[in-house]
Amino acid sequence: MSQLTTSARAEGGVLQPRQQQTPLSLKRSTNYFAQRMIKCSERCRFHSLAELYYAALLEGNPLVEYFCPQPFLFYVNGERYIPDVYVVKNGRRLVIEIRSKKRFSEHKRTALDSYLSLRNIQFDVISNDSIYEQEITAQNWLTILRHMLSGQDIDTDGAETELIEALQLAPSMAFGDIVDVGHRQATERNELAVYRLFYQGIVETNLETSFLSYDSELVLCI
Amino acid sequence: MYLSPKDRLLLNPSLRDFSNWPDVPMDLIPKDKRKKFDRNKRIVSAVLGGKKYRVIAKSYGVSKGRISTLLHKALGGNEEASPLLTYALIPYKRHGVSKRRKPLSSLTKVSGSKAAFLYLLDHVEDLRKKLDEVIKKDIEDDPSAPNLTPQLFHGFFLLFLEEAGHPKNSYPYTEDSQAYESARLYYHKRRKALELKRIEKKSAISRITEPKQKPFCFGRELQLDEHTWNGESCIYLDFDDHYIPIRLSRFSVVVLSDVDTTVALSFFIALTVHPSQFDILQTLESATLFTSVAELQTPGLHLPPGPAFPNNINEEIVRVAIESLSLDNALAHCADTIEEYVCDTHYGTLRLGLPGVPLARRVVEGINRHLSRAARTHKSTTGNNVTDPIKESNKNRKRPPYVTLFNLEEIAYAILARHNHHQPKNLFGSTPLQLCEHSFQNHLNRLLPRDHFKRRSPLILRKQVTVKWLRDERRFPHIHFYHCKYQGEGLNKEELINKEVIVEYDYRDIRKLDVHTLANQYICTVYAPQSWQRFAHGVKTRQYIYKYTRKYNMTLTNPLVEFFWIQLNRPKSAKGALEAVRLYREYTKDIEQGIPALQTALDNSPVQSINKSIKKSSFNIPDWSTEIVHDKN
Repeated sequence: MSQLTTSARAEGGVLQPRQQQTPLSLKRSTNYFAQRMIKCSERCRFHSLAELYYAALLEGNPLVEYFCPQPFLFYVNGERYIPDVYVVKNGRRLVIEIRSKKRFSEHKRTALDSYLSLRNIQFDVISNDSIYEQEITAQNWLTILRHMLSGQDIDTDGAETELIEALQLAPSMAFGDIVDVGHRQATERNELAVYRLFYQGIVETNLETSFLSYDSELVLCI
Repeated sequence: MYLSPKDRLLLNPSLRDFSNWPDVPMDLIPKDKRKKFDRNKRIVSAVLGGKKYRVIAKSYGVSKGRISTLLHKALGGNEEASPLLTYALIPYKRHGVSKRRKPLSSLTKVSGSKAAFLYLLDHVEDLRKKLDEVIKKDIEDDPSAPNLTPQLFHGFFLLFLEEAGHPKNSYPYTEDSQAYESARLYYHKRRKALELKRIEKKSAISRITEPKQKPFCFGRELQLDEHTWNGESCIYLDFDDHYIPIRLSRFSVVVLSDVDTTVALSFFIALTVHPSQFDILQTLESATLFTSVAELQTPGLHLPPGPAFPNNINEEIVRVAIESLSLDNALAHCADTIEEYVCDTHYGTLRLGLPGVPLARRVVEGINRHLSRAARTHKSTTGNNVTDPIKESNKNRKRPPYVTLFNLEEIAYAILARHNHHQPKNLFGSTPLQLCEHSFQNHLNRLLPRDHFKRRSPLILRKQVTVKWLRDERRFPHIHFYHCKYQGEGLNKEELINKEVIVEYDYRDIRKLDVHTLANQYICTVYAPQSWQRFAHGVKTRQYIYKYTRKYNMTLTNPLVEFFWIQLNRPKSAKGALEAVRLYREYTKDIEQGIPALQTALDNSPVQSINKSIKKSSFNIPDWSTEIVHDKN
């Protein structure tokens, strides 16, 4: 009996992360978000604001190589269960459940832990509050991400090199010094280069406490 | 234990001196009751001073019983509770809940019904709990709960008493009303308390659904919603020289607005109560197209000077990408085409909010309210009963106010343009348009490449189809697309027969398709049959016509025209009229540009028969006759 209460298995018995479809009824009853990401090739679907923010934070973390929202369909103790995110971070594989204050069922957790640990995957539960604490960071990363996606056809190699050289000479620069505010088209490549350097972790600015603006100070990390 | 006034004074002798009693602020006592309050104070003071009840009663003109009552109210009460003292002397003021000390009144011993209802609630087993359950079920809208009224609640009260085995010879059966009034008062009081408790419980749930901290930026969040307009007015269709008055059913206005600047970006009048995903895409697309300010032709309508919408300001501002688009959870909003447009064309976030929370989109809802104020509301919106006192009069019903479809669109345009130029208090004296321009110049808006939208119109769709050739029927190779066979010279190649190709088409006009290989190389343009070439029509119209003809087993020789007249002549059908108006707008929208443009294209094409039909057709829709429809039956 005790074995029955802690049984978990993935659909088809294969653990290949693939974003599960959101049924129409769920789409209409949750706080549904859809956003294209870089580290996940598909268009990502999230069922709460916390999930969207968490994905943005994963995008901003250079250690994260890949993530996939709603990755597997498990049957835990006979019930369907879809975890929120699958993350490959620094070579480690994690399955993450994002929860509000409500506690995650211990039975379910034990079952998933034992099933996933056999496959070398760690199961973790993260609270919504811990994500909302990093709200500004998440929003900044979403901004950076969207800029990078809309300029994905533009080549910025030259602009990136120039920017790094300029930052090696000056200790810091304001974003407004790189972008021509009145004529954005002329400095489009420079602007995009800054976002790409943020993403690569070469240039940094204060993303934790203030929103990106022309006054944001850029500093070289290396 | 209950203490009498005498016991209280023995227990607390300091109360014998009236100067030790607390003062009551005179503000608490209504002016008309102050005289009696002073009298009560003098009576109690005299009693404490040792005067006899008989003397006091005589000098103040009250009974001895009244003096005794005053003392019991002021000094009596439970041993543990402090006495009310001076506060008990305020006339007609109740302090706390009355408690019955006597046994309940019975047929043999009548003892009044004071606090008897509360006594029953406290002493009859589970009575209070069961009555609460009945109210709670009603508040929670339980499907099994009856529609609770005070009368029904009283019935439940008697039923539960009977179930508990309450004796039939005591209260409430001793009363004529069987405690109906007490049950009614208790019902209202308890219901209020339980409703408040429920609200409190609900508001305690701290669910975060939208960002708490947001940067101010034009385009950061857009909101889109539909608003139903009551189109009970007459719409006049303009057929060159003559006008056809049509009375419509309700239709929708789709509005797109920016949250931070509250500017209305675009709108679209969808001639249906339930706009489709394509109506929404059209609204989104029109916000990204640079246009000049419309010159209004409706008499009496004026626009404020300057641009009316942000897409009139300059060509750069329309490049601002959507960072986030908030919609409600209507079925049309869940369409994949909308998600694809927001996420893959704008690289923004699509958000379908939680159900039943319209305040999450308060900006666009505010604009909708603004639109509804301007719309004329008609009488008889409460029902269609012939005796309805506010029913529209026959005179007005026969001659409703009229407006042409063109004027109606101009009215909506003018209302929203005025909204964009007004100065609300929350924008610090700026207009939404000024704020929009300011934000564009001073904030890090995300701009999309210049030709981005031209390449990716949301209404230019693609579909994979097969090129077919029915050799035995001696036909030309064709593509089957939405019930029609499309032909073109470019298809007459052996290597294309039975091969899959991609057709690119405009959802709003499917008279011609661009054919591409699977590797996205242009092959040719193919055209719909002659009978479908006369007017521009979309996928929706084609599907409706086929559905209709199949249902009624009809053959239409000139489907576009005949279907229009069928809709227009549906007897007393406001929906039919609405559909006719929609068709009218679809057919006539590109009379200026579309058809001559197509004609030029066709001049060079080998499909001469189509060309001839275009040349033959006038832009007027001909008069309808019964011969126009051939019923197979």
